[in-house]
Amino acid sequence: MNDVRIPDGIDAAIRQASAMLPAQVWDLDSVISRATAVNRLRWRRRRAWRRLTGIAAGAVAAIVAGSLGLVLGGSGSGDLPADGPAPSWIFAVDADHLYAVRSGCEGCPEELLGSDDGGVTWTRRTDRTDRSFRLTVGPEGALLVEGIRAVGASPPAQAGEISGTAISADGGRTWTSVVDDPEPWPSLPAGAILSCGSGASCPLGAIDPETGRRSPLPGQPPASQGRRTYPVRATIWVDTQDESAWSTSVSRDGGRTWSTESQPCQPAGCGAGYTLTPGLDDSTVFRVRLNNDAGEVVILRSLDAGRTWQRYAVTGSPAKGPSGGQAAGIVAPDGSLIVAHFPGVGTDLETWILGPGDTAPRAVRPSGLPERLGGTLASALSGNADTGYLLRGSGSTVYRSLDGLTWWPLHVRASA
Amino acid sequence: MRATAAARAAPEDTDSFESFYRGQVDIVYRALALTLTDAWLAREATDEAMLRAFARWSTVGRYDNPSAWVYRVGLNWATSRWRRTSRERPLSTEDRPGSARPPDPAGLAALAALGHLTVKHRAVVVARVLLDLSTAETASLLGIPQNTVKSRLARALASLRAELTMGDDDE
Repeated sequence: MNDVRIPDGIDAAIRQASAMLPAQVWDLDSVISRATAVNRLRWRRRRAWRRLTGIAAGAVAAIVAGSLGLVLGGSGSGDLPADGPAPSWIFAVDADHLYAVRSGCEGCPEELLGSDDGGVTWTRRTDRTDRSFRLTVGPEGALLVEGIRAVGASPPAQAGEISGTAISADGGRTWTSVVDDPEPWPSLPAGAILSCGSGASCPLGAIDPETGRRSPLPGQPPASQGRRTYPVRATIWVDTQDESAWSTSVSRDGGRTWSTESQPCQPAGCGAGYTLTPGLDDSTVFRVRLNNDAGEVVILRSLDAGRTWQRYAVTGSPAKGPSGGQAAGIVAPDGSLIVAHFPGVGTDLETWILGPGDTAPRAVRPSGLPERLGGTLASALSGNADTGYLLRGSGSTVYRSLDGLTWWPLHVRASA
Repeated sequence: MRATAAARAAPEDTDSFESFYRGQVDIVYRALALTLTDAWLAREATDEAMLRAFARWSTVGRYDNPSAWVYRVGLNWATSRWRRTSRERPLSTEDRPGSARPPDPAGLAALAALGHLTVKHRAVVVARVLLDLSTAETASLLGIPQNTVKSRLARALASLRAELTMGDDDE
């Protein structure tokens, strides 16, 4: 069968379009680290199955359906006990309220856990969901779940079960179905969760946790190949990066009006590693990236919402491994930027701090963090001054901090 | 470290995957980004598909075109995710604010033209152009008959030609 020939002009146009896409920093080590975690989970499941082969099916069902209490402790070596599945996701709303998602085995339904006491005790908020669901946490603790149990099922199905797209204003105890309304919000509802914050073909919107109404924001940030959205206090920041420029957009009035500043990224493109980190006020914003394999970390700080930038550079250890290291930043409660550099698997974590009045970053040594870290730093380090901070270490270990400098390990442990 | 981590892959397999990853990951990402018209989603899909490729590398590495397999897995993952979030309404072209910095008019025009195709049509075009697959290979990749590949390609090319205001003299 003869192939249809692609006209040269169209072939060239498609290649030009391809060349315009934002450059990416690829991380082979994170692929391998994740594969390792999957393999470990499979091994645990096989071992658990061997243990269970002598147990009656009714007993297994009782364990699954029962209300298993969970305790999150703060001592120990930082390794996950073999008797509890690792949380696949953890998020802090503030110092007291945290959510975690975990699954007992690969392919099993995930369960949503919540803590109202800073992670000391945990309760199951729902234990019957789709095998995989997407969870978004609002600024005041509202939860948005996008998980479809069965095509056409009308949510909610029954108490404790999540199906379709639903939102909860009470920490996951009761759920309201999300209903689309094309009429833009006149102003952002209190506690709203932004929707399509990382989309490219849908408007940036908001969902009211009380009613479940989802509508576009009254104004929109500039269109792009993709965006990342960061709501911090009363400010919404949007980071867009295309092939030749990155833009910083900010709205201080609930998405009604936007201010956008763009800078060309020369000479080699922006790359996804130029991560935006909002400050605590509505004008300060940072960008952090690992500049090269020699370990140079570049910090950009803007005090005017991205119009002008001050550049700082520090140099840590050279990257180790084929994909090099990673760098990421968090903003401490006093407005300082804490930058972490992870040269590669099996290397020490390096950290610097840039205070509000500082003219140069200085090395700092947070306490309680592991010297060595696995996985991908950029996705492992999260939080801000309002939520506190979380860091996922190697394997399943999670570290918690409220100031960015003092950390402790959290262990998810089955209590009974 | 790498050999230990790759519990299911022999060291030579890991080296082979590393070589494949270095050479192909960006190509797969760009193919997915054009197909999905969402660079962020494409990045996540590429990471997910590469993870699965690594976990099965002893098998996937023997395929004639592992990149095509990774592309297909990434596309399946992303479109499945799309289905879960399909209630998010697309922004109409008329409503889109202007791009802050148009870097390449020809590339922008091509991106816009691709954006007017369905994902099925974009997948065929991208597989042929960026992954350099034949009609038969594209059919195998997407799990559709060769005649369907040809009809989708013809329709997509007609649309692109009209959008990009090209004459027939370049055929």
